[in-house]
Parts: sequence; C-alpha cells; structure tokens
Amino acid sequence: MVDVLVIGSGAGGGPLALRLSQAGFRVLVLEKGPRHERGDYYHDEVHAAGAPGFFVPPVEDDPHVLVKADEPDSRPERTTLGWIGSCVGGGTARMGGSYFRFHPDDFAVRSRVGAYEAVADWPYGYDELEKYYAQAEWEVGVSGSEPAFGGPRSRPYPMPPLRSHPLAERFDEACRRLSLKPVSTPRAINSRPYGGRPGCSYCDFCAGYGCPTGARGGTQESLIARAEATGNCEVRAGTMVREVTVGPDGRADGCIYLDAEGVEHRVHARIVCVCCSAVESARLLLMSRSPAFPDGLANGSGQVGRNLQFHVGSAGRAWFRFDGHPGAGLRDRHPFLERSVTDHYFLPPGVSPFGKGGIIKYAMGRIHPIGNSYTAARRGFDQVLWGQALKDRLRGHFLDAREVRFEVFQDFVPNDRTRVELDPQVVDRWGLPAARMHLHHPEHHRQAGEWLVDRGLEVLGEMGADELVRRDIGYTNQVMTHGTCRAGDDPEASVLNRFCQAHQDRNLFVVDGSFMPTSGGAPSTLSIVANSFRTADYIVDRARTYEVAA
Amino acid sequence: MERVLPSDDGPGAREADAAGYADWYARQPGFRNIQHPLVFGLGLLEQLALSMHGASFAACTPGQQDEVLRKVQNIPHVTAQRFFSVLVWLTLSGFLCPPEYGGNQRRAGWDFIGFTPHPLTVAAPAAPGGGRHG
Repeated sequence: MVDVLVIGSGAGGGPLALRLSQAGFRVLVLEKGPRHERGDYYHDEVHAAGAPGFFVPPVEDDPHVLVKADEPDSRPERTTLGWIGSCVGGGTARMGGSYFRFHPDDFAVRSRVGAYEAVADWPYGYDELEKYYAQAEWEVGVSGSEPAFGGPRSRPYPMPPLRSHPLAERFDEACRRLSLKPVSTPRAINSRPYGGRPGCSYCDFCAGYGCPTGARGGTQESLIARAEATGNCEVRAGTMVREVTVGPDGRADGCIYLDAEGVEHRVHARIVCVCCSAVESARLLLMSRSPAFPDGLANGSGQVGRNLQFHVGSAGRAWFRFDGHPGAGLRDRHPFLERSVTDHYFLPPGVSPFGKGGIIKYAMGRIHPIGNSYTAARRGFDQVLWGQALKDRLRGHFLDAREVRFEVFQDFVPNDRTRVELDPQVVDRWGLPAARMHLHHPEHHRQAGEWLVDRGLEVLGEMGADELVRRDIGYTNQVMTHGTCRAGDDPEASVLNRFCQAHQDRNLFVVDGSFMPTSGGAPSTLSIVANSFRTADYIVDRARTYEVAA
Repeated sequence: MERVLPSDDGPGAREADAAGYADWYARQPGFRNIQHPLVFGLGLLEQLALSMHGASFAACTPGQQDEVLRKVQNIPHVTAQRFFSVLVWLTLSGFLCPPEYGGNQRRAGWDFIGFTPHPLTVAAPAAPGGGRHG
C-alpha cells in the first residue's frame, strides 16, 4: 500500500511526486515509457527521425486513432497525434521549454472575451495560481526577465535570460518603431548553473531532442530526481496502467498495471493521481469501468473525453543575406534569439468572431544540416529542387544568409466536435482499446492565424529581411494537450472540481492539461506544472484534515 | 544521387559517398515507408532511359540522365512525385548525416555547408560507427 499513486511523470506528475514525497507521503510513480538518462540523448538527425519509440511510441504498438471531423468521408486513421513524450519526464524530456505564464484573462475567457464554441471560464483565477507559478519557476529553474508577460508577479525569475544572438538588438529596434514591446522568452533552461545542474551549452539541438547536460529543466531532471532523493518516491518505468481500480466504497483504491513482459501487477493506494496527458488520461478513466461507473471512472456526467484541445500554431520565416546587413552579426552561429511579441494576445475587432490572439515567438533558424537542406530544396517552389540548382540553393541557404523564424502560439478553441473516446476496433499492443480522437478546427484558428502571421512578418520586414515566407496557418500543435476532464464548479458540466479532484471520487485526481477549460494563448506547460504544485498543496492539506483518504 | 547533388568546384553526392548512407538506410525498418516509391521510380528511370536514349540509366551520359530525371519529375503522378522527394531527401541525408552512417565521408557535406558540429554532437550507437564524433 502506498499513500499516493501517480500515473505519469511529465509536467503533471513531476511536481506531485516532488511535493508529496517531500511532505512524507509514500509515492509510487508509474511511467508507461522507458527511462532515458543524459547519456542516451544523441544529437543525431538520423536517429531523431528514425528511432520509433524513443519519445513517441510507434503507431503499430500504441496507436491513437484520428477522425477528421471536418472531412465527412474521412476514415479513422492511426496516428501519433496526442502522444507528447512517452518516457520518464513525459513531454518535458524533449520540450522547447517556453515557460510563459497565462494572462489573467485566460482564466475567464468566456466572461472577458466572449462566448464562442465551448469556451468556459476556469473555476479559479490567476490570483490563486500566482504563488504556484512562482514556485514552479523556482523549482524547475526558469530563465527570464522583466518586463514579463502575464499578470502581477510575486517573485522575479530565478535566473537571467539565456544569451541572445546579436540580431536581437535589431529585433528590438524594429519592434520599437512598430510600437511593440517585445519580451525575453522565458525558458525552462538554465542560463547559469542552477539546482545542481549546469548552464546551457547552446548546442542548437534543443526542442525535439533530449538534453545531454541536464541544463533543461524537464521534470525528470528538476523534480523527479529530487523526489527520489527523499527516499519516499519510487519510479517504475515501462509500466502500462490498464485500469484504475475501485474499492468496496466505489472510490479509487489503486490500479492494475502491466510490466514490460505483460505481467499484471496490483497496486493499492489511498489516493490516485492520473497524469498521463489529456488524451491518455481520458482513455484510462474510460477504460476503468465498475458497477458504479459503467461508462468510465468519474464519468457520471458523460464529460470525460469531451473538450479535447491541442494548441494551435502558425508560422513564418525570413532570410537575411550576410552581404546586405553589415554589422548585424549574422554570421554568429549562436542558436537563440529569445524574443517574443505578446502585444497581440487579444485581437482587434473584425479579425475573428472570437477575440483571442496569441504569442509570437521568434527564433534563429536552427542549423540542422539534413532538415535545413531539405527545407532549402523545397523553399518557395512547387517541385523539389535537384541538380545544380539544388547545389546553388544550398550555398545560398547556408553560406550566404541566416534564417529567422517565428511560431505563433494560439488557443485551441474547445468545441463539441473535438473529443476522445475508446476506439471500437483498434487496440494497442496489450489488446487495450486505443484512444480515438475526433478533431475539428473552428474557423477562428485560421482567421486569427492569418492575422498573427501578418503581424509576425511585419517585424521581420521592418528588420530588413531579404525574403519573407508565410508558413502553415492554424495547424494543430500536437505537443500540448488539454481539456478532456474539464474542471468546474458544476458536477453536471465538469469532471473535476477546482482542485482537480473528481467530483464523484474524492480519492481521484487528474493532474495534467486535462483540467483546463481553455488552453491559453501561451504555451501551457508552465501552467500545468504550477497547477500541479497547487494540487499537491491541496492534497497535503486535506490529508491532514482527513478530507481525502490518506 | 550524383545527378541530384552533382560535383562542381565543391563536393557532391559522390565525394561524400551519399550512396553509403543509402545502403545503410535500406536495411532499416523505416525503409519500408519509402520502398514502394523508390522501386517504382527507379523502374521508371530505367524504362525511360531505354526508350529515350536506348541505354540503361547507368550507361547514359550525365546530360541524358538529367533529361530522364526531368521527365520523371514532370509526370503528374503521385508516386512519381513522391519518388522525387524521397530521392532528394535520401541524397541530402547521405550528404549531411553524421559520418558514422556511411555518408558524409571526410565530412565533405558538412564542410560544404560550413557546419561545425558542437562538441556535444554525438551519433547514436545504432549508427554503424556510432559514438562521439564532435
């Protein structure tokens, strides 16, 4: 018997493991994926492209199923969409680590921005999360500076920003001329030694890759390792939980999991925290059926799996020729620009029926030889280049110019047609039903994306870019998932209460992005981490007063 | 591959031995995703070389080979188009991969684009010569 069972070790599970083990609870963390260490991370483009299962399981073994709700004849297809990172640390093991806070209005979008699709207010406000944002920034280690995006702050960032490329100076000047106030992108990456981990070595293989030095504060590095050091926390990797079990009182009392050999094990726990990310957390509840919950644990409202949200992305790129910008330092290979424009977080009237914009995050083009050269071969042409034309293009791309790109982060609007259910046919390698996702993009995603990309390109144009390229507009950003176990005060319309505790089961918590009624215009990872620290405090507090079972 | 990335006063697919990478890749599980367009496309090249120039593709002059490739690229057929993308991707990968995979020999590709690997850059042990090359 353990005090707290934590299923999943990413942005949601990590903070719980640390806080609860520090508070003296016996904590067991079950992680479906493998455990990687620093030495397992290779900065190898071939390996990154061809190592199925390293971060995301292959669709043959662990499929998700996608139904595109916007295409009436679309047949369900197997996809990796909805997996972020299946390993100790979850998605944070491979994150870019842009650790923005949400804007105070993100907590009350329906009241302050307006009704649209299934948008709803959060059951709590920025003020209640502020303390935990600060905790998360200091526990994980975030590099950043004032003025920062978001609401009022009780503490500064624990570290100054990462070093910026010399081009940042021109970026700031261009923004000033456009009356914009750029911010330094806050990153969960050490700008100097912090928390027993080294400062960043600026290797340029960051998002999408594991960090071989531990400078990036994924939960494995920054939280789980410290949880284990308390002696109260055990992490078992390679364990697939197939069911959250319930006791005679109908409340969660542990789980059944399968080890790597497929052998079943039973765990008893006083409190169960499901932290598998929004798609898999919903799937686990739906698979956990009992007489009291024939449609899935804590699903009396029928809301489990509804309101699935990813994040929405749009993008643009620009090239600056070395010979056209003397003194700009373009030849400097420093990988980070570390600038974001947050002035368009809310849209002016007329762009879209829904007034939410987003954050435009700028970055130096990464110098990944294979990836960049293939981009160069396709750039601006209907057909891929080859022969002498390709050779010349490579020279122009790598030897004559530097790329600056931006990515827009936007809310994924919750809607009735985007949800998770159990697939009636497709099963995973253990024979368990796969998660079937229905995906519909409200028109707002594209409308806002078009407008935001125009704003993003304006800055690059003002900097004097020699070539501007619009990229994808309003695409599904799959590295963040939210919403499938909505938190709210009304048990008929939500799954969790304001502390991520199931309305129908006080022993059960869902602690990842699943609780979020809306996904925020900023990347959501820090908000998931902060909310998890908040939930941990609640569990510690209530356990003392016997309001939860521990 | 030598026509996709020809040698001029800088190295091409030949100097970097991009084909060495393709040999390795053909033995990997991921290969099955590109096998169909590749086999289809190579067959097409051979067929067209014979009908256009009366010789096997390998026996054609570089100019004749380019003519055949241009013809294939302009066939409005989805698999022919995919073949072209795969061919260019495979060639670039062989030109610019970590040398342990058999391509980018003597770092010819990296030198050509001015890429200097960071000291942390490491090829995975799955690479035939895996290990540290930084």
